[in-house]
Amino acid sequence: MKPTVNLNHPRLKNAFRQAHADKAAVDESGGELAGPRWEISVMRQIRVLDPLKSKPAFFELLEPMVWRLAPVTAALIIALATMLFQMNFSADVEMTALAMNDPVAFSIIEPLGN
Amino acid sequence: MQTESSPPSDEEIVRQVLDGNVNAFEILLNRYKPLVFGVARRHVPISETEEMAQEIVIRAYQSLPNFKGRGSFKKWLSAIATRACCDFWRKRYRSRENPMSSLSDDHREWLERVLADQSGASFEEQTGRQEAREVLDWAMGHLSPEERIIIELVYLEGRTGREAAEMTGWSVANVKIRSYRARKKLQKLLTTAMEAEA
Repeated sequence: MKPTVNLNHPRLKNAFRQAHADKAAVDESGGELAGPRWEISVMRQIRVLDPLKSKPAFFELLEPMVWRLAPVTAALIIALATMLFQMNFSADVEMTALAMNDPVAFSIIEPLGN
Repeated sequence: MQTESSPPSDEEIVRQVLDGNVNAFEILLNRYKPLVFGVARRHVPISETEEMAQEIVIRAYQSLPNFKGRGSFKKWLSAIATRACCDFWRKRYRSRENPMSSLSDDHREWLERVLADQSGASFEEQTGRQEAREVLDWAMGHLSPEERIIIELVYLEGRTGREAAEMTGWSVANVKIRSYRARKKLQKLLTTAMEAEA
C-alpha cells in the first residue's frame, strides 16, 4: 500500500506547527541578537537616507488604480475586438488592400460595378 | 497632566518623522523591535534574522509616507515585514544553484512514525522536534516564495484568510486559492518523498 501524507493529521500538524513556533521562540532568549548595537546601526542608516516625502507624487497616487482598472481595460479590449469582427472588419481590410494594389482601377471601376 | 506623561501614539510619531524629525523614528524602532524580529525569525533562516530585521525597518521607514493611519501601525508594519520576507526568498531562489537533496531515510522514518501514530504521548519529544523542523525546511525549500509564505501564515501559524490577506497584500480569495494549492503541493511533495523509499 502506498503511503500518503495527510497534512491535517493531528500529530503531523502539531509537529510542524511546534517546529515553526520554535523558530520564533528563540527570540525570547536571543535578545542579545538585537542589542543596542543593532539599533544604532539601523538608525545610522536611516539618517543617511533621503528625507521622506510626506506627499506622494501624482503618478504614485495613480499606481493603485492601475491594477484595479486592469480587468475593466481587458474587458473593454475584448468587447472592442468582438465589435470590430462583427462589423466585418476583414472585408474592409480586403477592400483597402485592393485599393492599395491598384488605386486607379479600383477608384473608377469598383464604384461602377464593373 | 496625564496626557503629558503618556507616550506619544504611533500616528503622532509618524507625523513627527514626516515633518523631518528622523530621531523620533527610534521610538517606533524600540517599540516594534520584538515584532520585527519575531516575523523575521519565523520566515527566514535564523542566520539571516538580524539583516532581515534591518531591511524591514528601513523599508518601513521609507514607506512611512504611505501609512494613512486607517489601520493600526502594528498591522501595517507586520504586512511590510511579511512582504520583505517573501522578497528575501525570491532573491534567495534566484541565486540558488544546486537542486535540493532528497529526504533522508531518518526523515522518512520520522514521517512514517508520526503518521502511523504508534508512539505514545512522550514520543521522542526533542528528536521529534528537530526532525520535524528538518522535514519542514526540506519541504519548504521545494515551494515557491509565495507558497512558502502562505503555508507559514495559514497552515503553520493558523491565521485566517483575512489576516493572511492583510499581511501579504493579496485578496482573501487569492489567499484561499494559493493556500489550497500550496497545501496540495506540500502534501504531494511529502507523499512522493515517502513513496521513494516504499
